[in-house]
Amino acid sequence: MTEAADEAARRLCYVEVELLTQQEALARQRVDVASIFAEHHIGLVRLALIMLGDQASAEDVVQEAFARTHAGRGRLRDADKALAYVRSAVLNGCRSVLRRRATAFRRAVPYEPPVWSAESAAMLGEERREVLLALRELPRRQREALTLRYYFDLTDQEVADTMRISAGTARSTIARGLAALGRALGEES
Amino acid sequence: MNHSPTEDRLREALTEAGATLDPSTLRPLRAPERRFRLNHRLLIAVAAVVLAGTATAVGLGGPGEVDYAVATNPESLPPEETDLAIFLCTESVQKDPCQGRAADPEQTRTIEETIRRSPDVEVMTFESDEAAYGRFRQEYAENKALLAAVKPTDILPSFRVKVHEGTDLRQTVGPLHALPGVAKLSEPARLYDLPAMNEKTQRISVFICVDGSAMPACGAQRTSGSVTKEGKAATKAQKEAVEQMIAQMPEVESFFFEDQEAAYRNFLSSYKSNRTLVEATEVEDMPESFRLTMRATADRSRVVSDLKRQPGVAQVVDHACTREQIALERYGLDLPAAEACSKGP
Repeated sequence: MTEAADEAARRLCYVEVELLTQQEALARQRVDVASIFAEHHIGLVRLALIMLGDQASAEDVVQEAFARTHAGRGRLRDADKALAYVRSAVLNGCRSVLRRRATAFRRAVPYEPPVWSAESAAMLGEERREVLLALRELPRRQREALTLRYYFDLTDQEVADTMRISAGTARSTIARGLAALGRALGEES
Repeated sequence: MNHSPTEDRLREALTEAGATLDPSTLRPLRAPERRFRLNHRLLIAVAAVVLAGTATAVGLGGPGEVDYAVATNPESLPPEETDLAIFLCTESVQKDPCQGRAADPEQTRTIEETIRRSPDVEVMTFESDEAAYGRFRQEYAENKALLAAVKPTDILPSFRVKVHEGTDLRQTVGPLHALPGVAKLSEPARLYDLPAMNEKTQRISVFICVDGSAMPACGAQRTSGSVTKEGKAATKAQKEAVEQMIAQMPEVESFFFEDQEAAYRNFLSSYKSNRTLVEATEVEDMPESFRLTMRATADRSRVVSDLKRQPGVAQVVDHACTREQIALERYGLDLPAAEACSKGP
């Protein structure tokens, strides 16, 4: 039906207008984005889970990012960067949730579970919990860069693409984050 | 390379944190419903480029005749007040979604009830194919060639709807689009209002190939609905050759070149109220074109066919033909451009 309507659109305006056909190409790329979401669904939810600490919010964030991309609001030209693009969309979603939570806490209305709530953290060992709590205290950029590097094993360039920063900034952010984490955990570097 | 203890601890903690997720408990991703929204957007974009006018929504179908079991208001809405026409499938509509099957009485009733249920609908009438054909013959009485080209069975019966002022038609149309028995949708009232529809100047737009084009004329290859190889942009020499050719055509009164930036500015000024469309469209989505104003009595078809053959030209649009085609959309007709155009003034 979509194709049929597109066909009608073409006819309506005297065969294909350049713009329409380009939009079609974009629409096809969006389909690819959708398949990337499907393929990496679990990994993306895990990324959000590490950022947010609870599965329900993590799933919501991924679903929301998926819906946005699917609705065509997300733009994608370079198919090679598709995974960086969807991870980036998920990170953005996590930032929004964390901002909302911060606001809620300032108003002393803790209606959402804090990052790594007692319930979620109970599933982790003491040692792991300590590291995650220290990670959580880091500035947002460092926290994200460290997660992308040490959970997904991304290269500097891939971290940079996902966070929409330069590779140099990614490298220095990771180094600073790691040093800060070491200090927080009482380790000598 | 040695890892620091911090790196190792972090890696392990993250792995364990990630592993707390049980994949079997994940809710599946849900695709949002967006079909109509997207099409509408495409249509708007196309109309913007060709006519710098506003949008229209159409479906697809073909000609046919059908028996109905519908009792509605016997007086049909005049086209200029018909916000939405819902054309029904007939046996002669071979393409999707009809595939040669006429809307049966039950489907027709469902369509009617869906329309009636919508709180947006102010008036609903039904126009039979015979009545619509009569109206068509009257409007185009002087255009013998067009009358000869359109058979009575080409015209479809339709439910015709006027909505309350301020209604977002996309909301109204959403549930109708997918109903079995619906051949296509059209917005006749809006078609009457398009400023470009009332334009008297004879204009032709010559679109130039840009990189990534899907047009076969630019070297693109495609199957139905998908591009297997993208086209190339016109070279500087090709553009200059096109310009020179236009400059030497006696039929052309005046012309100018519209680059992507200029096209984008025009697009923004026409669509500033449509944020979604503006956000989804970038400068490089815009085409490059030569815009020709033709002398009143010029033979446009020769100009069109000569320019079409020129390397680096993606397509040539005769605005008069487009207007004629759009006008025919009010009857649910989608004639090929050549057929609609050869009859025009």
